[in-house]
Amino acid sequence: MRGKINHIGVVRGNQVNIALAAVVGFLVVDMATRTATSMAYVGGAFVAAAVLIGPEAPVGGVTGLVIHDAFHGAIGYWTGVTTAWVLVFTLVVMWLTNGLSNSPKRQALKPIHRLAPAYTGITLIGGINATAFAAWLTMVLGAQRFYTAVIGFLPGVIAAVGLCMFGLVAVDVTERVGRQVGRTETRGHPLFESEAPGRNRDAGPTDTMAVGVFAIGTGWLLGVSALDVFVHDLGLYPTASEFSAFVTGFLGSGSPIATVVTTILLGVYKYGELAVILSAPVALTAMLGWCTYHEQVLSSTAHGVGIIRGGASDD
Amino acid sequence: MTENQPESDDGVPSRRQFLTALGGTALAAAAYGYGTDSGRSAAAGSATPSSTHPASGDHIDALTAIASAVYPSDVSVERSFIESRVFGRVEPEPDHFEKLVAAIEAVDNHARARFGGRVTDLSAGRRRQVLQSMGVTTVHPAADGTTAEQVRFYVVNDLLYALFTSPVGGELLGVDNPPGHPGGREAYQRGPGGGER
Repeated sequence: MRGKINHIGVVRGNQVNIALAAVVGFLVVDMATRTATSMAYVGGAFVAAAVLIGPEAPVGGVTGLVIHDAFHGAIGYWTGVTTAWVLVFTLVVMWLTNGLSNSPKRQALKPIHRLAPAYTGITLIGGINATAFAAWLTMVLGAQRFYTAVIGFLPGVIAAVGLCMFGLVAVDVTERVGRQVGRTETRGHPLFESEAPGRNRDAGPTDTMAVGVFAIGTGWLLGVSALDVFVHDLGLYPTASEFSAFVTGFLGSGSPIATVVTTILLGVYKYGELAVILSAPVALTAMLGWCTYHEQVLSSTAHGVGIIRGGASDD
Repeated sequence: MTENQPESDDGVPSRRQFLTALGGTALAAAAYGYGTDSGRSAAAGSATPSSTHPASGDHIDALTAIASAVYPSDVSVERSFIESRVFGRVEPEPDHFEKLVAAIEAVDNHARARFGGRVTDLSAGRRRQVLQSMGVTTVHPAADGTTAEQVRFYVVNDLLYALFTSPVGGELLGVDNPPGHPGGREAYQRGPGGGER
């Protein structure tokens, strides 16, 4: 019974925090619109607040954003896409942070000079994946090209990293000052300190998983951006036959290499847009597959490398 | 009756008919204001407004505001110019004006959502930021593309077309006779080298 009451108290506390964050979020969004500040910076601030304060901050922040746009009668694709960007960013950061705060590595990361690079990496991984997803969503909703949306969101990732670092350093300085003046009790941080000691939380991602997610996300973001720019420029040729005539005139048609390159470029012309649209399902499947089967992949790779180095295996 | 008619019966117009026709033509030309466009201000000029465009006054105001961000800074835009040159011309394609109005509304909505006011309430610099944040400045125009590409196609291209087919735009380019504007009476009175004939 007492556990149930405690649970209700925690839920109510979260609701109050989210409501407060929504009010703050509304005000911040309103100030940003009046000063023509990009919403990517505001979103980055919400994500940094997730690291420094807790996940209620971005949830409340995007609630404030939606209320702001609804209040001004200006709900549009930008509302949904920015909300998705902040939430995905926060989810990835929390997922990766969970891996830090539930392992012995947390103690090793206690000094700020180790904590700051770790959180820079975490925020970058979250930002890259969230930006790729939000850009894809923007394109699917028919609002912008993938690469223009990426250009719009990337400053927010930099803002999130910068604000996060600033906040971590500020917390560290506060703790040091507190110790200097004799206050031994400093309040633990929800994301980079264990929130409830002894509580059995889910095991977070391993370093290998994080590296894989970073690699897949970076490939998704940069590869699809480059492909989208290329496909966009190919659109200057109204028809495939005109483009084919240009490529043939440029490369010639005699050599087999020219034929192969022409075929590939024509394929990009015809199916490039489709490839950009399919990039998200492919990338998400790759991430899911990596997180599920990375151990098997790595062990089989190590086994293969061992065979190559050591000759034929015994079995 | 036939004796009182001054005209000849062989189908050749009489002197009175000829003078009447000439006077009517001169009056029509004067009323049309042929060759009277001049100055650096993009004013209404000579186009006759179309009576069937879907744009309201707000749309024309918004497009005028966007034009101030798209046009060079030394060109001042007047509402009448936009009304006559953009919405007053013959519709290039069916539903072109409807899509232009939709693109204007997209820009205006984005300005209200992310810049705190209608595009008419913002400064020229902020209006440029609105177009940049929509991705309009980095895409190619496409009639059936994304919202940004449609804004580029319908709004930006129409504004540039209106400017550069007007005498002011022609002056900016150093072209007296841009396509769509024959250059006025003065252009025909100059010799090939620019001097008086």
